[in-house]
Amino acid sequence: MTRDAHGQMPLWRLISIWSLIFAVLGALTVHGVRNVTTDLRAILPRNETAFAREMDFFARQGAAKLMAIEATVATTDDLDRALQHLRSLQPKLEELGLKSLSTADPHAVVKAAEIIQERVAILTTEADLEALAPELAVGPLTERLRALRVRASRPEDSFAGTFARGDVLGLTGKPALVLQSGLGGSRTDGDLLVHADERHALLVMSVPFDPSEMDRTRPLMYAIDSARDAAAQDAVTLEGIGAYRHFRENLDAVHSDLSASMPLSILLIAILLYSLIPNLRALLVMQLPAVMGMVGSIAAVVITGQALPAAILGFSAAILGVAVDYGQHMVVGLRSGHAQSMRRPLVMAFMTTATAFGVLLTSSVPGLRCIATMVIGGLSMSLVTSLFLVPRLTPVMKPTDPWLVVSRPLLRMTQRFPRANWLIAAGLTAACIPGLMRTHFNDDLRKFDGSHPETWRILGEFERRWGGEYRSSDFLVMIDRDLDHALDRVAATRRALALPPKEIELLLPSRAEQARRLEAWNSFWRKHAAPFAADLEIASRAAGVRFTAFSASLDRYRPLDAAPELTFATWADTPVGKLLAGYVAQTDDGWQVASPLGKLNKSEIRTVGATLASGPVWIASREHIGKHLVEVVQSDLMHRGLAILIAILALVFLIERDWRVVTAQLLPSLLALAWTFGFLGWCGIALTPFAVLAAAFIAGIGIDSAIFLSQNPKAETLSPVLVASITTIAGVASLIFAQHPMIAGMGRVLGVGMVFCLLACLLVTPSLTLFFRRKPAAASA
Amino acid sequence: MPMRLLFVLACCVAAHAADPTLLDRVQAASKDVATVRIPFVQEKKLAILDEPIVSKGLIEISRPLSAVRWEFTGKSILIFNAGKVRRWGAEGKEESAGKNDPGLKSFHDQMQAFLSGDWTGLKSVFDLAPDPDGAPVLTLTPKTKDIGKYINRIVLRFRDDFTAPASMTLTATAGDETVYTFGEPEVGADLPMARFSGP
Repeated sequence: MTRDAHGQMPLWRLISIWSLIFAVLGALTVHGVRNVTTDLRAILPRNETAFAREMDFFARQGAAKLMAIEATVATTDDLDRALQHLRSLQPKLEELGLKSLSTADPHAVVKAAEIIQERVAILTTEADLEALAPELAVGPLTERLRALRVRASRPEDSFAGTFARGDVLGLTGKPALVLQSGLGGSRTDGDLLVHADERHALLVMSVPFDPSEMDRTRPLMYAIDSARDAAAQDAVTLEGIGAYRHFRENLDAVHSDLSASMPLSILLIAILLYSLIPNLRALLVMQLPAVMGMVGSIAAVVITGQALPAAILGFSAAILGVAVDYGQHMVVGLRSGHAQSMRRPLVMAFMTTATAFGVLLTSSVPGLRCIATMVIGGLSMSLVTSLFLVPRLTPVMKPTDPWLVVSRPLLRMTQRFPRANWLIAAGLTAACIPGLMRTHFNDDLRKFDGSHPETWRILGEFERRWGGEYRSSDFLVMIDRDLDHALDRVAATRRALALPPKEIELLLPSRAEQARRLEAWNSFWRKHAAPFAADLEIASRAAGVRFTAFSASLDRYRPLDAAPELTFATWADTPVGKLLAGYVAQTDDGWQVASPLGKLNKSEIRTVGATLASGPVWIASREHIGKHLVEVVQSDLMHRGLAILIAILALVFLIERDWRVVTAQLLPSLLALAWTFGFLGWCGIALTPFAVLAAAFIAGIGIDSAIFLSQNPKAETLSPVLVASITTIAGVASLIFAQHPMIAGMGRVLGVGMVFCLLACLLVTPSLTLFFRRKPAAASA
Repeated sequence: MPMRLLFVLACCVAAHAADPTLLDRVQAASKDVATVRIPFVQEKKLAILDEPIVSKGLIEISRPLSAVRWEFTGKSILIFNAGKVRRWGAEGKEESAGKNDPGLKSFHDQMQAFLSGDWTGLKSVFDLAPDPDGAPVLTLTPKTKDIGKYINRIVLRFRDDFTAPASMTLTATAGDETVYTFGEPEVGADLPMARFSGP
């Protein structure tokens, strides 16, 4: 390889090589950002079967791929305007591939009606028959026939009389109710549902793509936004309800947070750095480790084949704050002419941080592994850039440090009364310990979500209005190779829990249940058929209708040798089939049957969970997932937190071989952590599991600063430590105001943590280092 | 569906012709009609009742006002106006039209279709057969078995001058029958807004 007079690679070649590296990493970064995922499963652990199956269940649930658009008007007189706006939106959404869940297709409705007519015996439950028995007496029958006469006599009624001839008791009506009524007691109006209050109308459509496919979700939401604006001009409030709205808002929040926080962070950092290094070229060179760190972090995730979750992208900003330190220390070292002495603390700082996050690579939580990969990959690139590129590009500068006006008196102050410093540190620690006891975690998944509060309010009102049936949050679930077996066990579990049957149990009974119902039907009509016929004749005379017209009814109400079998396939291409598809699905492991439970509270979840204990039927609960997620991540971090501590301790001891130096380097980080979480505990701030990860950053940066200060406790060393800490604080502080709660939570913990980290370093490291150095000196004297 | 058919067939038909001559004539005769009043007698023969139910009434249509009034004299009134159907009972009291009443829903749809001139649904549902001897009669039979489960056939007879329908007979599959006999149409009738605001 060609070298110049100093034995170095020519600059043009060096720049070419680094440009190539940057291009490759940049391409990988672009690829990673384009394929960013918002699927929570990408960051959650799958090593627990029960947890994984619940997550898979909700991922499969058809409800996640529904888009509901609700139109609201002020008075019932304006309802038609609401319907009109929904109808004009529908074709636009159909162009995007959405399909109506309508029950209005006459062919589909008639097919379902035929199925019901032919199988009324097995669609009628024992409870239905029990309720029917008193209705067969002459009195109730007479009332029924009189009402029929009135209805059929209305000139605008065309078929009531005709229909009643074949089913005078209306037994086919109950299963058919599902064809006529919508959510929350609503009525259907073509493809739309109209709420009983006649002020709200609803269009529900199935969406052929996942909400995370943002290139398709955005046009969908834009179409709804545009319709909403047009409707608003007409005094109609139109709202899109569903995961697609939440996903867009989450991703917008992440993008907005990053685009808002990054320029501000960079500006603040630039101002601070300029105050330390007033040389434009040197300042630009100083940013190279940060830039390479950023692309390196995302490229590392892509290279290792991991999914890049949107929420974790926020960590790249934190990496920026850490990575910029490396360049800064190197440029300051170059300016003062002792760049070589910077190499050891830089490598040591990297190793401690890499060790801490290296432990997280063993985590069972993919999200934690992803973060660890980002940090190690990003900081590796920063380190290599700082060691090999920055020295070649940094111009020669006068060895002047403008920050000495701050760092000199500050260092004197921290070293003048060491015991006073330690007393302050002890006092702060004592004050924060009760706060640590108050630390708690947020287990409400909604609080990890970046949707607007308005969106949650609208969803809450929507769920209350439509009876909470739009999207049940809890289900009884079973997966089995035999669909019939799964149907039977889920229905039996529902009965065992004393819960009334839902559509899945009523309209898709297992073969065994069909046999039971047929037996009940036959037993009932063996007993009642003859007296019923006699009573119907009496009642017909009393009501003034022809008894002979009901011969088809009498023919229907009799024992049967057999009924046509009813299977999931029977309902294909009918409104009932569409409904059941939300509850029955074929998976790799067999048929999944789900029976909706609505929304259970914590105590109900416990009770149902205890009842199901070891059986094949299990409960899928969104709230349960949230709680479990917190437990798993928390437990994972707690276990690895101890491992991280031991690994760092071992590493620093191996390098320094002196427990006093180890203490000076590690104690500030431990204190900073205790103060940070104690303070947050006092403030009552609930932590997210990923906010705890900030502990690793705080510890890593605390150790970095302490390493520099303990190795050379001079004002010249404190200047870059001060600027490095403050730039890091500037890097993360802007995240505090992020829209996304996960990112804001991280910003809060990191911001507070970095302030305490700097404080702990100032109070402990210089004074402790001086104290330990004086002692051996005094002893030797 | 039935109400829709009744109205569609009785009042216009024009757009979906199996017999271009017949329907062209009907369409030509009615295309310039802005308002029309048609008296009718409805006779329902139901197997469950000994006697037929006879109802007289009027259909009034105003294209300029985009409104339709369907009155069964002494029984009920249905009015389609401003995109909404309202119903009044025999006592003149407004009832809960539009709420869970599929009959009124059908009426609403067909009124809207009539006023907009969009009859595209009819041709896909029925085979339209003109009388082979050239009489002004059109017989409609359901194309699909699902509609065929409810309606056996519909026979529509026009006036000799093709200006309006003369009668319509709807035969249900179980044999129940509804017959509309239309009277002299009053084309250009004075139909003020008040006719479409209530009884």
